[in-house]
Amino acid sequence: MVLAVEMHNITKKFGNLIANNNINFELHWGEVHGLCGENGAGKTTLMNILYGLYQPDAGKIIINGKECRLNSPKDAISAGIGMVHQHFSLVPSMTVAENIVIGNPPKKKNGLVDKKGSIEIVKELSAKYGLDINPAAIVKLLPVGLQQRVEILKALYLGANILIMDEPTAVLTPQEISQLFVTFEALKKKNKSIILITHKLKEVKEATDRITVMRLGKITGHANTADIDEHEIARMMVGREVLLRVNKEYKKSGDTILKVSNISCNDNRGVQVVKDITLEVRSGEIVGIAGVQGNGQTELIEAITGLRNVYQGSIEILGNTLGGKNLPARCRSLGVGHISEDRQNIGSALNASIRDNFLINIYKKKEFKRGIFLDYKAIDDTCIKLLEQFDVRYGKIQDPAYSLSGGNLQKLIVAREIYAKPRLLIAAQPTRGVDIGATEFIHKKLIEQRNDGNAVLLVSNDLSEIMSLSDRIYVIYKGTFVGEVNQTDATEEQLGLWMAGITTSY
Amino acid sequence: MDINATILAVIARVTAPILLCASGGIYSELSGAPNITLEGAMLFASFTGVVGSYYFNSSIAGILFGVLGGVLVNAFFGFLHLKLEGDATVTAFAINTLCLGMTTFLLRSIFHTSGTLIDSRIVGLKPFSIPLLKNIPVLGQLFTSQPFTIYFSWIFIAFTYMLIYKTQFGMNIRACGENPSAASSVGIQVMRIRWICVLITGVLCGLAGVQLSLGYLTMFSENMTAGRGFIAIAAILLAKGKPLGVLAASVLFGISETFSNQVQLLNISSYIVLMIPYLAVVIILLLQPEQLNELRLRLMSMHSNRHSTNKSD
Amino acid sequence: MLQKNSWGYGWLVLQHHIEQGELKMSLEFRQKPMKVRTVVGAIVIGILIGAVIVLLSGNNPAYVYAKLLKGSFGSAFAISSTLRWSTPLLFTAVASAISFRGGMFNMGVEGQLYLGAMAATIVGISYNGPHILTVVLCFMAAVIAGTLYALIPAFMRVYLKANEIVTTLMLNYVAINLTNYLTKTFFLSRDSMGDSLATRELYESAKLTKLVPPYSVTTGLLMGLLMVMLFYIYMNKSVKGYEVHISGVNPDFSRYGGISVDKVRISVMLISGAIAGLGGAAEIMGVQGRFISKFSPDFGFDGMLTALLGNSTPLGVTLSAIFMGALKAGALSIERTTNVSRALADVIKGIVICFVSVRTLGIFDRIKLPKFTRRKKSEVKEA
Repeated sequence: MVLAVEMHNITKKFGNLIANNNINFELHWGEVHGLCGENGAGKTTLMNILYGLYQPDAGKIIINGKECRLNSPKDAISAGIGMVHQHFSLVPSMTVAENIVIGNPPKKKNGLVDKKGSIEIVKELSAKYGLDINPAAIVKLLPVGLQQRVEILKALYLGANILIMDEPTAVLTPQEISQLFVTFEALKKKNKSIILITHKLKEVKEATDRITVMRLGKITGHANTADIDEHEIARMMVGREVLLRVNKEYKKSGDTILKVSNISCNDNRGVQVVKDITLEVRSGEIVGIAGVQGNGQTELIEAITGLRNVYQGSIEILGNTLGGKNLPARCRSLGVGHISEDRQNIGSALNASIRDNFLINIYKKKEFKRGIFLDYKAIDDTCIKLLEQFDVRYGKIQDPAYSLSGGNLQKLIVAREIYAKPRLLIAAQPTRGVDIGATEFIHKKLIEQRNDGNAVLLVSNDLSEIMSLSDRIYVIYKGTFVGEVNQTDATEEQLGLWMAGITTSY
Repeated sequence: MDINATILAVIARVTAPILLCASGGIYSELSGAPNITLEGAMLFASFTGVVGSYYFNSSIAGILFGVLGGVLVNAFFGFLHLKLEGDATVTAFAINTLCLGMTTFLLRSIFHTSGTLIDSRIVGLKPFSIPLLKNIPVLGQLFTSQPFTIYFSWIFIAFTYMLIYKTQFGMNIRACGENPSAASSVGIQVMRIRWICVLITGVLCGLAGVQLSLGYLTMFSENMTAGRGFIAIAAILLAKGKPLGVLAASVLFGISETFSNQVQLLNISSYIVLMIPYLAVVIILLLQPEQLNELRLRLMSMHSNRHSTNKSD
Repeated sequence: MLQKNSWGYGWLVLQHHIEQGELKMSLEFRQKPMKVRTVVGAIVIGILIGAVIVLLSGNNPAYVYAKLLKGSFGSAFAISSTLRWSTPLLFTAVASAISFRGGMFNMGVEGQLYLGAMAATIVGISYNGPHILTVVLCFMAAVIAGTLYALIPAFMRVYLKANEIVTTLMLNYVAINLTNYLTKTFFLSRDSMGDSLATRELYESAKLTKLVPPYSVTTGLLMGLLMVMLFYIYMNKSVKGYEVHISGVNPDFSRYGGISVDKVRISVMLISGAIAGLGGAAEIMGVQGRFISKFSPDFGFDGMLTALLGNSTPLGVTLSAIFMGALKAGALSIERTTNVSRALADVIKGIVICFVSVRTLGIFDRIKLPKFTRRKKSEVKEA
């Protein structure tokens, strides 16, 4: 039986870091193969090698029985490999058709690009694989699920028989995820193979035929999906028993800390994305907002934290209305902490030192000031102490923040926000892209905040996170809350339906 | 001089260096290699053009040497920015300084003069007219007795428009600029395309320099570009890199420079008048829709308590 | 205590990037660790290429460079010449550096310098009071002029989102022509000949004292060094300095943390303009003695290059200013004594800056510098 892909003894080093250590990997034709591991396990590196973006330091690659040198994506494409990245490789200003054919566009006799022909080609492909799309739509205006579809079609147009999908479900609704898995079935029927890079255990169980697990650059296990359960996969990924559900004690909630009344706001394009939202968070509770990326929760959080203008309604924190010239400053002075969903661009300054990142919302505190000067000795001492408390792995506090891994950076941010003793802690996507160990830690801290009598507002795409942490759950869809439920009454099915906008009506 | 009769032709002539530079600059910008060496490249080309024309006694040699000069400067930029991953802005400013220094230095060491070089051995570009078009009333002056660089400047911008929007090469350029990882993931060689674009910019800057030093007057003077390269960049920014917009912006700047020149002839205090082209750029940049919109938002928010604190720019 | 960061501050990058299909200019303070050996290597390359050019122009590089060194450090006069040329750069480099650190690309230092010079001149030819008072008044006028002129692009950037790089470049030309106009129309000295534009001489009380007469190094040098000191204290020790630093590195992050980035940007531009204006004043009051058209051989622009070469840090800027000043003094000397044009200095400058901004690609790794300059690398790549 000829295998689709064989990777033998692949090794890849980046300086002193061994990203792939003597990896052996096999892909059958007509299967969906899950490639699992935490951030930093080496799975993306391995696939980048398969797609020709990196060259291995050692080892060989065999595609469909033939040994191949993949020196660039062009070679991989010729070998029938396509890759859909986490961050889409689309040209925003071009149409769907242009994006799909860009690698090899059809041409008219005079050498100019045949735009009509491109549209015809896209229609054919859509029909063949059951992937509906409007060829003339401009990509930047498409919702994320459709953009991903364009990526898949692009790979298929270039003749991919093997499709590598890197964390494809991070930005999809539960329904869109099911749709994606249906697409996988259709592709399998045409004897194509799919490598699914993911760390989501449920999806691995649902969609894959076989699994390979990696940790710290090595393969820690192979299995047939049917023969293994989530706990074992997690153990292979992390190396120890993992707590998959958080234990929380019941707590009676107290006074209102955050009161949002009928607010509406627009996104950066001027389109209204938050429509008349009202919500309340009380002390001693965690309120979760579930929803798929792009339904207004980002802008809602920006409005609450003063990073976005609201043109209707009011926001009250501990009874004080949010207003004035410098809204984020006002917010923080009222006792709000904010773990931003964009930790790289907004939640931190990657090019600044760890210590300077720590300082941002506390540099005005009396204990660190000496007149118009800063007491850097006190600052450094506090910073070091706190980083140790939060188990952040780093070199020196003068090191730039970009030297931290995703999980450690997030822990630094959480440490900094919690140090300021916020009455209201807003956590937006707090564990996205964060390894399991740090995730556990952050969840613990959020619950600690709640237990101490503070309020926590949690926004997450990760339904299991919302369901295990929140006392109350709102679901946001297209800018409004379409459902509200207590933790005890919440089911994944109901939440999933709400997230897709399906509200039951009598 | 009868001001009104040939004013269109004068505007075309004054616009040409800006338009040529900006047209070339479009390629670099759209491909994702921000290139502000236009000033230095144009200056260097105007010098090498004079050198070629002087030594070979021919305008063709002047053109070739000029283009070569522009390409050399941009090739050096490409080497520093694309190959050695040097920072685009810093490198560009350094190259501009370098070109200023080199031209002054070479003026002294080759021709043993400073300031200005005027010599009968320098052969300027030969003006010619286009047969049928020159007879059109009013517009005919645009096609009468102009050096080829003027005609080329129009043809090239039209050609650029077609190339960028209707060919695969143009698609690739745009992809490289907008999302280089998208481009490389389908096998487009981003570096190669950027190199080609930078070299095209070099050719165009070369022609712009040739127009300056050989197109109307035949001479070289130190720093004769006087900021035109930066004005070309302003044109590209105004037009957001779109060819038609670049044409419009370049013409606008050409008109303001022409106006300034004409007024100078009337003996009004020349210094105030010299300011006009530069002030024009500033004012035009101020009057962009984005800017006016921002002004409107700010004024409105001063009435309400809330401040627009969207993503910073 | 000195807070030593192991990676420096990097370049302010003007990013022309294409967003959503439209060309947008935005500013980014991109981190590029600048190692000492990169600077040293770039200087070496600059000197070597300069030597080649000298050779190709028919001169002996060794002879020319010897003359250059002699002209910058070889005698008391040479050293005073170096200091004289470094002084204005101290002002303009600090002015540029402060704006860079705050995330603003102030290309208008030259124009602000001219206006500051003009303002100081107007006071200096009109008011003849006690020495210290006159000098202070002149400086104040210069500060006001420079600050106001910097206010224009500052406002345009913060309130209109109009990018300041092109506007400040244009405003330079405007300022130069404006000062020429003012000189010609209002202040033209009766004894100026032909085409040269100059005002009357300043009153003696407005002129800066020479430190070591008859050499032309004045208290202006001390003021320049004072600027560097203040720059250091401001950025490294003060609360506002932290705000400037972090706003320059990531304005979105700063805004998220409650800093008014708009206020920071405006204040940084104003400070920059003020220092540039002071630089112009110091040059007129210290060296020229009157306002002369074209008195600045690109001090403003060279100040920007100096700041970049010095990585926008106080120590780096000082060393770079001395280097650039020495280069200038030496180049003037060789123009007098050899066939080589002073423009050689510009050539070397240009090449040095070119190579400072590139990645070392391991070329420079083989140069071994003394241990205390070596810095630790901490690189972790996400697999």
